[in-house]
Amino acid sequence: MKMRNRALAFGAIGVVGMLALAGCGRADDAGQGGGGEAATVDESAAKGTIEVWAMGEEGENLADFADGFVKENPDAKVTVTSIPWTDVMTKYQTAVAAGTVPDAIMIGSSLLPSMVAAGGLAKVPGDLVDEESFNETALESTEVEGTSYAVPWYVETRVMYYREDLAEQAGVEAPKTWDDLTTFAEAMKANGSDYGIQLPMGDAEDSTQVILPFYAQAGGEVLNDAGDAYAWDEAALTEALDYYASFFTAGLAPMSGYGDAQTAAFANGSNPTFISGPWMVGVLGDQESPEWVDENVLTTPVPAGTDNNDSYLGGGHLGVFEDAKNADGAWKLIRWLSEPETQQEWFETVNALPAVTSALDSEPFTSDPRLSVLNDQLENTVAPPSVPSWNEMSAFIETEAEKVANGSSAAESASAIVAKAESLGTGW
Amino acid sequence: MAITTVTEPDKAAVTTDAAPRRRRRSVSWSRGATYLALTIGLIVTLAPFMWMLLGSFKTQGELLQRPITWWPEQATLDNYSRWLTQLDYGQFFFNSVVVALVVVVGNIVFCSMVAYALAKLEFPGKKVLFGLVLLTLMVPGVVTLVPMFVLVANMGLVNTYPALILPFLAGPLGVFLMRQFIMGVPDALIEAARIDGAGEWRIFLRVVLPQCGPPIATLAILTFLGSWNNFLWPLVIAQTEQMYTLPVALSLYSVGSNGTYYGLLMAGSVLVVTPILLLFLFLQRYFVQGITMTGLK
Amino acid sequence: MVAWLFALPFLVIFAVFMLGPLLGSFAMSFTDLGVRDLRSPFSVNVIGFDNFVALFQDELFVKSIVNTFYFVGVGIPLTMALGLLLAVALNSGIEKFRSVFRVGFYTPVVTSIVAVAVVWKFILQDSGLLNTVLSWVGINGPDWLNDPFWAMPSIILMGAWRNMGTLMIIFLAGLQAIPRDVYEAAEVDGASAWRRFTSMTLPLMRPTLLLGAVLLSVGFLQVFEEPFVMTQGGPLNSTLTISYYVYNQFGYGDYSLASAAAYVLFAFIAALSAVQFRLLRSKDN
Repeated sequence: MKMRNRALAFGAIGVVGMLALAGCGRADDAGQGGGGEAATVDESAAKGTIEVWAMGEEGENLADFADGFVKENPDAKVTVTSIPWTDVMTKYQTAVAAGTVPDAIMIGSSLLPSMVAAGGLAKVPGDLVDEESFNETALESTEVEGTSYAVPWYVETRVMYYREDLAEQAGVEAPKTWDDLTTFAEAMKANGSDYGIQLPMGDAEDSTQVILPFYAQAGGEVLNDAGDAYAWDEAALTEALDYYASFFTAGLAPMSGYGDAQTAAFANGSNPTFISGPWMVGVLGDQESPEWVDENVLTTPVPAGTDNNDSYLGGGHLGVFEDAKNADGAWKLIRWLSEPETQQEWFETVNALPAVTSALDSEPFTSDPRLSVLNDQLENTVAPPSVPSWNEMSAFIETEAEKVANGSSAAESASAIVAKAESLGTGW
Repeated sequence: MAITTVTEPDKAAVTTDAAPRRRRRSVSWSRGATYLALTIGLIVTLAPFMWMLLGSFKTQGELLQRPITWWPEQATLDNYSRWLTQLDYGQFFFNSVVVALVVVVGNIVFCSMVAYALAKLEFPGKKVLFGLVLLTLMVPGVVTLVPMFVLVANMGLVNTYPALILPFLAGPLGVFLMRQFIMGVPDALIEAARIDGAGEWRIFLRVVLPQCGPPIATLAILTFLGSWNNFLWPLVIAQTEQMYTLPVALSLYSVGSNGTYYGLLMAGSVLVVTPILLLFLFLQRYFVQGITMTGLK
Repeated sequence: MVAWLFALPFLVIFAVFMLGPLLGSFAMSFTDLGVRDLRSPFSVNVIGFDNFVALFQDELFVKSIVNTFYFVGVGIPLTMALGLLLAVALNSGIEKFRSVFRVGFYTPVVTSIVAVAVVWKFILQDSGLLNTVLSWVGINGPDWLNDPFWAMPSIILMGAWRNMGTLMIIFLAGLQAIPRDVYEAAEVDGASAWRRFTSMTLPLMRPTLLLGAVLLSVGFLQVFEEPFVMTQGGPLNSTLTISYYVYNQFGYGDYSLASAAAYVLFAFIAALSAVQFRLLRSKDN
């Protein structure tokens, strides 16, 4: 008898605890996912403290960089807190759940759908920025069902890196099509390299970042026109999976994917090709030397499939929280960061490509060979769809692709992916 | 199973005079072999640490090289100087230490109090309480993260030291350890004190606690360890970098947009691991005693 | 009663920070609470056992159960054997450097996984330390962490390495509690060292051995950090454990499914512990 009382007591404490949570929570919860009208932002100067969460190098540099903004808005102050890249969603979710959010946050483009689904982001005010000024694909990745929840800040896209010296030896030139790439890889291998190309493998290495472009290059679209359901083209999917796997089954790419030795293998010639983003120039420069990179490394746009040569587009956006204390200041900061001049200066500071296309029409993007390759590629890009279930969907694709690379049927995997997409739904 | 005290082998007891020399030689052979095996095992076990230590003195470029190098070819102190000067290591260290110390003291005090009640006093619901405590020892930690965060946030404690400390101030492990040990304190002692008119609190302080050296040391180490290495909670509860603890800072600064900065990670890891190793080195005697005495009951 | 006063501080902290959230998340597993419901948790739908059904229909979850039990089934005997080996060696009358060995073998236990994982990855790489050493004796080692067959054994090995120290210390105490004269008597009777070990030491160590097994199984069933840091659950999900599955579901925003999976794990832990405790108690009597 007494034991049951105790058990009841503990149960009661638990229930009371949860009720207290609900009670203490925001009572004005009108709905989730961006309820309410978007604010309007005027031309007056920003005031007050603006708290921003950012990651990586952007996080490290933004506080100082924002001095330019503070000069134009002397009553404002910008504080930046760095968040580890790997833990952004955890921090975001917990902050939103408890209402302890900053004003603005840097959003890795692939995280936007989850953040919108969690419901903390505010709609971008209609008159804040000129949407046309941004890279189209980047802009799309800030939108959910037609509404924009963030402003593109910087972009990155992937191009093919290869060892120029080894290519010369092997007697091949930069590949332009899928078949060219296979020939290229074969020639590199015949020239003495262990492999012809490095490709990512599995969920651990995010292989969707090459598979999605292959799919797009074969003409496939991910979502239907309305953007509310997956619309995988099974034929294009099979083509893409087959092409991806062909490198592994032919021994042109190592089954272990990039592994830990990606740059080392590139530098010592055992695997002289990979597809990646602009930061690799710095990484290779760190490992060897910038001179070595200049002499031996060339980049070229990714080869085209049957339809196009779209490459993976990533990047960062800036969003403002609904519960932000200084939303006005935050929007103004974002507006400042999207001005073409600021975008160019930001590039000079952290080497992040501007999301504003006009900023790319100038030096050094037009003359520097590497930057002009990136510039070219930016016109043909594909971004992952802005849906919350994409993380789970892409993890599934990556496992299926791994199976195909191990020899199983691409057609089977393609239909498994279609089936999974149906059962998952977009997640909205 | 009762503890029998460890006695020194009574060498005089059994050796026959018949073949003492042969025994001694075979004993020293096998002992030598044991030493050798242990040493090899130790080297193999500690090799990763050596590697980590050596790696902390290497440049990123050298760490990315294949085949891997063992001894640093271009030794550098950059990784350490970055941590200690540029990256505010002192602040992170301070946070980790303060939190760990308070959590340790809290656990020692509160857990031994409730353990005393569970071990030596009678009250209704005793079994249920202990059962619950045992049960929570088995619960995967990630389950309580979100509700706990919402709770603490609603208390207005986000980004504060109390938030880092309170949830861990009295944990199930401490209760388990202390109760096991206190149960072994002879009832006669306690009864005698009671007869002398001492109140329960007096008995607890003067009779029971002084005997609890080993389990307290054990609890101190285990709790300190758990708090020092705690990653997930400090990550979500801290909103500004000043409140980050060491593991969070390690994760934050070691992985950047260009991948992992291995040298920085290893130097940071050495800095995180060393205090624990030192603590263990000094307290290990008590620790070993504590673990074994409570474990075997 | 005064007992409640003793218990009070602990109880308050326990109830508020442990029980409350526990019960909350338990209730959560019977709902469809997802990411967008975080701000108003009480407006979710109760869906009964749907989450649990969905779990067992998910081939990934079933695979994670198999993987976890593979880890536990091989990991526990391996770690116990290593711990016992070390304890026997340290107990065999060696006097010098005893502390050095004790601390040395215990160090893997006290260090954070993130610190050690990078090192182990380097060692286990295709061109890493282990394969280099193996090549000296003519063995061509596989790409340990990238081979679907060898990844889990590598993780198990690492788990054993990290935990053998704890068992070493527990078993050492158990061994030291066996009085020497028991052995001496057997020696006089002509029993060999091996015979003494199997017929006398092991049976006397039974409670200690079972304690070690219980401690290990609670920890090993929850294994997460090793596969998370070393292989990210791959290759081909061969190192995806139940805890990892839970973590992934949290990442996808499906909180209620994650909670349900966590409670399934909890059930396994409780069941295994109960079985082991019963074995321990019956042998004792």
